[in-house]
Amino acid sequence: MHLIQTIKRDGGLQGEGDGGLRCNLFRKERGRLRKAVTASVAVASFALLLAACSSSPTTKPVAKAKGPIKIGMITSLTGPYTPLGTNDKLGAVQEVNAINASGGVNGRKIDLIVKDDTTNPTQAVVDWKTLMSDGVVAVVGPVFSSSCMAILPDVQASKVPSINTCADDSQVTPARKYVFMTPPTTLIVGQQLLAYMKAKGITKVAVAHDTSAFGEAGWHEMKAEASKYGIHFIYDGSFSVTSTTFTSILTAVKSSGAQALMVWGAGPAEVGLTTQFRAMGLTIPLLFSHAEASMLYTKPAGAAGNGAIIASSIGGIGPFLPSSYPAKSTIMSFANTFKAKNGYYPPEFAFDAGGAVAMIAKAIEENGATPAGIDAALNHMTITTGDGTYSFSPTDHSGLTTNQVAITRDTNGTLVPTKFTKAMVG
Amino acid sequence: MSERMRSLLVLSLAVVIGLVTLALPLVLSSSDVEIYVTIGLATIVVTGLSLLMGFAGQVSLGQAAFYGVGAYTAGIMAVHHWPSLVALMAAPIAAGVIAFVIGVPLLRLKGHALVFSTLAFQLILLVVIENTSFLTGGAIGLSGIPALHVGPLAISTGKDYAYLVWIVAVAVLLITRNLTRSRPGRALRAMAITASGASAAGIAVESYKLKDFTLSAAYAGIAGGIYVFFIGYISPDAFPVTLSIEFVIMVVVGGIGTVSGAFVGAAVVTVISQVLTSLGTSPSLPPDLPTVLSLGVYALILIIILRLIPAGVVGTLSDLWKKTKPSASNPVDTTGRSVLDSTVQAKDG
Repeated sequence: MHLIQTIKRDGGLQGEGDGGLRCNLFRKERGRLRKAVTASVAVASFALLLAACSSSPTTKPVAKAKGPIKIGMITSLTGPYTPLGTNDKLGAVQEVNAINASGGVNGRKIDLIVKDDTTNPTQAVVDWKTLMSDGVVAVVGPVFSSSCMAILPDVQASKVPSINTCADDSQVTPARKYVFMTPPTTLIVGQQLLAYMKAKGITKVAVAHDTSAFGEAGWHEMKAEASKYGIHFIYDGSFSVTSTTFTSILTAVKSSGAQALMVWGAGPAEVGLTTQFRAMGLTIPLLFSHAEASMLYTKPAGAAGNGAIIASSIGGIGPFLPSSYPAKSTIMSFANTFKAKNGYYPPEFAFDAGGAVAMIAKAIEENGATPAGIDAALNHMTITTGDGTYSFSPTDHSGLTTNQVAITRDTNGTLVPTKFTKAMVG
Repeated sequence: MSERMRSLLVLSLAVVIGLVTLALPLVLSSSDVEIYVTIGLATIVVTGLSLLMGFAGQVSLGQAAFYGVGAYTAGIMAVHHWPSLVALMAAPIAAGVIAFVIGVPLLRLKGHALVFSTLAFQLILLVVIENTSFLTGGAIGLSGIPALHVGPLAISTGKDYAYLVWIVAVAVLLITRNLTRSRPGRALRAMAITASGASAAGIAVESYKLKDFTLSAAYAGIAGGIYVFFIGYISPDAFPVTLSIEFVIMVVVGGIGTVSGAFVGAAVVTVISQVLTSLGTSPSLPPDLPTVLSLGVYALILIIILRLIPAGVVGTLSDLWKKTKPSASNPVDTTGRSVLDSTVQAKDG
């Protein structure tokens, strides 16, 4: 009612009613004039706002060879992916600060320009264009899968490499020019979880997945690989990322005779599922993908999460790695700095973005600070970051293998490597 | 100032503004052209929503759903090799047809029930999109949408889309302006003030509501159709419920029931949110700042705007214009308020 009360109509019903009241011509003209002025002022405001918004002309100065090297970053600092994007930013900023503190790359400092995609693919496209206007030579790409997919055509058109931190395999399957990714693909995570199940003698598995791009992709990759490991999925239930009740899925899982429940999804729903899984007295192993491999899951899940099997990038088990493990010092150096500054062990997102910065820096060191040079270097790069050792090639733009995926057990909130993973890392 | 002078002033201003908005895509940077297109698309949707809220008195919290219907219709047809212009034309038709079908039962509801039912429609639509992967690409989305072609002309750059959106937005605004001044427009205005009164005066209230709902959905549909060619990729994530809420905010900020308010509301809200989004991203700033700005400060600004100018930007300017030139055609009372507005409020109160 209030909305209707605030209606102010120039002209209104007076003299215009269906009943046949007529204005004289003069009054009508004057009414039109007023409306025209109002409309004009409105359009003027629109134009002025746009002009104010336009912070820069179309031509941008090219970065001077001696000045700082501009690197862009698109991540989600607001919206549903805020916890992921915030840690991405913390990781990238930490890596940039470390590089600059040690003298920069080839004697030049890195200037990181961060853009917030607001967990919205449309905004990611705006951000990409802004970064191109700013003259960045490479980009640490979005953590939100839809944003990654939305910027793909622009990445190709701009010919500026983007090392994305989203987990969607399809962006690099097949390998696209200028598009790379740092998180482990859902394919290798799925393969490693299947290998773990096989090692534990599990053959009949139920799956619950959310309907996000990540949940769908993970489940479909795993289903396609299952027969190679002798695994049969005997129940498949899906839920929304905003679901809070899982009774029907868990009841079906309980009566299905499954030896384990595999969950693909990212977000708070998995915490609710874990709590209800325990409350219903289910005792079969509960397995999660790497989306749950941080305190963003273990903390709210609390005691209910105890014992859950969670895939993780190798960085997630840094403290447990033997000192002989090649990536151990890189992981712990990054993790200790992060923990000292932020008070918690870095989640995978921080490793993903920090690693992307390290890759760009190494590429600049090898081939100079140009998009083409960086792209050429990335296509043949082998580098160890907090996520493990990557080997990129022109046909492999994800670079990691199953050897970089750990299978852990949530032990009182800490991700402790399973025997399966201990045997792998030595 | 004489009437002649005023008339000349208005005409000159209109010409200047027209030229400025036409020239803007040429001088804006590529990222600002994207924002220009975003504002244009929002203007098209908001014009329809303003027509619905201000004239038919119906609030829809599901307008982004019709935006999505338009986008998916055009996107699905385009990836299945339909001519892109046909796909674009189908977008408003699909959105309008769906609105017409669901409008028959929904518009029997009133007040909050109607608001929630439109919200529910959007939530249901998102679930349907996520679960029809074979058609929509599901949650992973639909990529590889080809560029829009109008005959031999390829619409591919941001500037191309800026002009396309400009043309469609102007067309939509003109259609709406003419509609509101016609018999159906007067009927809608009467309904917004008092549906029972309008009904008693012989206006077919239900029929007008349904037509208005359908038209506003068609506007959202064409905007969605342009959006999908502009971005080249769609997923359900592009049409969250918050987008519907943002459209409503734009209507209110611009001025409910004012046609030009759609422009202003879309521009003001988009620019405010863009500025706030860019403010908190500096690497040296605290990680929580973007959230504070995008939620807290954004809300504060909107509250201040609505406290100061509850009639919206255009509504307020319109009132001020009336105050400077009181006349017999719209008499004001001693408080400076339009007698007509006082009457409206008295009836509704």
